[in-house]
Amino acid sequence: MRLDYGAATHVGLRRRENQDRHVARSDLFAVADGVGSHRGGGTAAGIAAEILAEAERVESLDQLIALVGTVNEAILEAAKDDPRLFETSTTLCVLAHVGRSRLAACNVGDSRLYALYRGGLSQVSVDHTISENLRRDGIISAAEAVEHVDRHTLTRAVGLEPRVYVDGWELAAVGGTRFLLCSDGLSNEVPEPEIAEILRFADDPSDAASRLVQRAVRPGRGRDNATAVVVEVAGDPELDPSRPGQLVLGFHPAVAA
Amino acid sequence: MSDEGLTVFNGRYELLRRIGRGGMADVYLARDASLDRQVAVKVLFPEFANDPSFVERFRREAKAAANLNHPNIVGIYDWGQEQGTYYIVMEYVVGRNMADVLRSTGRLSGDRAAEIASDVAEALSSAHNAGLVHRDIKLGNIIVSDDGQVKVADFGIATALARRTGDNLTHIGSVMGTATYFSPEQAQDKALDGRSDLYSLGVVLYELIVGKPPFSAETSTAVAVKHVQERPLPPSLLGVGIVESLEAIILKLLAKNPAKRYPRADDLRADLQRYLAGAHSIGAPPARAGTADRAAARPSAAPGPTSTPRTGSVAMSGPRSGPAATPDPRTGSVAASGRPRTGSVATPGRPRAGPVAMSGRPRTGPVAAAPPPGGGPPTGSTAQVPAAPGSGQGPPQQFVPPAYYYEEVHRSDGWKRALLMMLGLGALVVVLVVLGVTFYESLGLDDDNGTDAPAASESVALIDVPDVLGLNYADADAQLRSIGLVPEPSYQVNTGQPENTVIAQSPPAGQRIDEGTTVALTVSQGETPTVPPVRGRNRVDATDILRSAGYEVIVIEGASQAEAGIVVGQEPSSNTELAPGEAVTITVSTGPGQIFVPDLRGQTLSQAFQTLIEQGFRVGERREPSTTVEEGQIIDTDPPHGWPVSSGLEVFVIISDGPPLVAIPDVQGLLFDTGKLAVERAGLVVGIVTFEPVEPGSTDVGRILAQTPPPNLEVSAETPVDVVVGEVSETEGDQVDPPEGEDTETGGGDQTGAGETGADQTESDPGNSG
Repeated sequence: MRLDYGAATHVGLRRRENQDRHVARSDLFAVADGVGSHRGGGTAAGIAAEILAEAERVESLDQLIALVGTVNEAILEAAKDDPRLFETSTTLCVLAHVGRSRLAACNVGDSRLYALYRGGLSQVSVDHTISENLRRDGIISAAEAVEHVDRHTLTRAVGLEPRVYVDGWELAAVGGTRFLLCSDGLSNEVPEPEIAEILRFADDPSDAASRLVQRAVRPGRGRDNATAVVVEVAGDPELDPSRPGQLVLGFHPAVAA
Repeated sequence: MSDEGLTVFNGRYELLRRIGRGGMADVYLARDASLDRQVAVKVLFPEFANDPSFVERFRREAKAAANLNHPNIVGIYDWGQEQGTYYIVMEYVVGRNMADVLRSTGRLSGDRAAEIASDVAEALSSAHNAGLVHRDIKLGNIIVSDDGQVKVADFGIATALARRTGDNLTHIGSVMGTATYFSPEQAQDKALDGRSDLYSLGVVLYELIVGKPPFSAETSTAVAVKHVQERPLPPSLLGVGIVESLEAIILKLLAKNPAKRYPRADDLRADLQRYLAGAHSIGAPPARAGTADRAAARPSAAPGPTSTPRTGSVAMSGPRSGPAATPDPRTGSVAASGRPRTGSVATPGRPRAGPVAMSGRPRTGPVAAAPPPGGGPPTGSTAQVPAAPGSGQGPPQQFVPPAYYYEEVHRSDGWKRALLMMLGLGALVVVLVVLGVTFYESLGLDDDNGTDAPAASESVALIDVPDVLGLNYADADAQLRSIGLVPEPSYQVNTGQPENTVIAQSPPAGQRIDEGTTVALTVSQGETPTVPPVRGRNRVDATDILRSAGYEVIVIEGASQAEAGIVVGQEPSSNTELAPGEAVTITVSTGPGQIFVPDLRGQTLSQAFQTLIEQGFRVGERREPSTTVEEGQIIDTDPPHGWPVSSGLEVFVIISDGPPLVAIPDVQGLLFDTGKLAVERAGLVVGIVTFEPVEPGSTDVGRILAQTPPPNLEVSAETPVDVVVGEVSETEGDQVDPPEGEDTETGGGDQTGAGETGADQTESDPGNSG
């Protein structure tokens, strides 16, 4: 099984520094969005990207989650030596090929993993924000959630506490599926129907990634750094007999790493 | 915009000249050409104008502030964007801000400071009622206009700033320059409500009276830390002449715990007014409620000391002895208790705000109004969940939003050290009681004259006033009532008459008066002891003397010329009549040179004891639970280190008992993140997380299904709570949806979130869960 991929990032129109980092190698893809307005945010995301880029191939969801734990420790360790990094942290959304027709994904924070699967777009990851928690508890509606005062307040981030809780998914690698990993600077600026359309009609993952980012930083938008990594499972969906109808095989919320 | 040439904003506001420069904006005097009036225009610095999220909040808050219409608030007229920046148009106030006033004229009298604070409190009350917290109350934002009006400036702007980013201290510090007026919760970046402004106002009041703020240090951070950790020195200990009641008000405002401050700005204002009235009312009592009202409010009968309630502005006048008067429910703080040291002194008389309401986030109204946690998950699909409370019941709206979303982890850090403040409040009550007595007497006198019946009128039912002199009051009362008159007693002591005897009446016997008229009776109250003189005695003797005379003793310490340990003041003064059981406050000198309690933290017990003994203290020890200090180690002393005291005082070394026991919260049914916040808020940690498969698409995915130990068990802090969380397992079923059952397979997924993702999200803030 082969994965095709492409990535794009842009500082946006209003920010001076791009605190988004991403990783795109043949078997592992990630987006990290630094948290905090000071240098520390970019640094935390940078540490995450560096570790993931150089990590050995992961062969299971557990290994992937352990890798997030490694990142968490590294950021905390760096902050110990540099007071400017105190309480800086990063979101982290990762997709990895873990063997045969299996993918693993994990997420901490409010970067997102979307899947365009059999023509329909769905958000696989769950945002770790207070407003999303309130929405899932039925206290506020989806419409209220996007306006909510705490919509940016993360309940989890990497590099904040000694133990980080990671959401993990086991995913089927079904030919033709396109995945999007993106920072909130993209998902906030491009409505989901547009994301779906771009993913569906772009020539290839690189084309999709750059179109999505361009869309996010169009005039009048682009209020934040925007990053997209698009991954496509090579192969014709019709010819792929593996477990039809299933994309998400398992979801393990809040695994300690 | 430049200072030269005429810059016109919106074709309407002609900038005349720059009149000020703040941390975020220049302020110009301008002319509003449309209305031909002078206005002030505040022009944001470009670095703020370029941050769209800031501008958006700025706009929103400016809008909210513009809706505040109050004489004590600088009015906001307009706002807009011009030449790549943003501006606010506001009322132009000719006057000086309090920082300038303080600089040029030095510290203010307590009365003047209280007047100003009272006006600020009125402004705050109006803003808080509108859901707006100022967040930046400081001398520079309080303006006294040339015609004497006190005005509070910059409502809403600080809010916009504070929300600019998730980070807190450094940022606000760098923008605003100083943390001098930060409330402890502000310094810790906790949720704020109006009580934060009250703290800042306390700092202002302190500074106005003392001449310097309660806490200062070289860096903002150090100041902020002091706001969180250190207690302010009472102004009286700094050699400032201040009435104890006002000092108690200030110390109450400066309480670290918002719940210990005034619940509302109105309550502060009431106390300040009461202080102001008290300071001046002895000679000139404020207007009283009408006779009829008083008669109606009067208890139906009863001999002996009565707690005659007086309404309206005379809330201070209490009975001189006997049972405590009814606490005034509007203030509850210092108003009406006739007895010092009772719970009602420190406890606000109105219901405490719940934990959620305390978060002070006005925009989350519907959430904030909800009851505490404990309910089940929102939908009915959870029947298979073991032990999930309330599962399967009720529509989503009935889900009880957990308070944990909003409340920070609060660790009680031995904060019972409010001892001295309690003393201050106790003293305040004593003062009020004393004032009340004096006041009451002046009223009583007034009654004798003021309630004289009018001369005989032509009305039909005229009654002959009977002679009740010499009667027992109960009999006199009954007799007067039986013929339609209303007796109103006042009491006099040391009359030489038996107790409860009517010794004077007005109108006198034989006069003809209308039915329903009040007859003032002076009733003998027997002998009341007087306060023995203790000034000049040592503390122990003085306390013994007062106690053996039946008084409670409140000790206040202060530096003085007198030798340490000598009583240099007493209140009430000697030979004042005072019923046994009341409190006498004595001021004990700490000597001309102050000694400070040494910092013993980190020392071994024997080292600590030796240090104290060497410095002439008597030594006691006490144990308290602590989450931060290891068991057996020294937490601090009581009085705490750095506190000025007299030699020979007993200093208690407070030794940690280890972490206190805390009750385990019920987190079953909560989303993991919410449950984790709840656990951490209780001072516990999340332990092992295990998973249990649940139906794909069920709302139990990501929820806590079970917990160990169970809820309500009391354990030591930091105990791990293991939880079982619902997951979707690969082995479950063969049709697996993404979490939440969101559309995966159909084109319908395209619509998910359509039109909902265009929010103006521009940044990610770290959660406060740590």
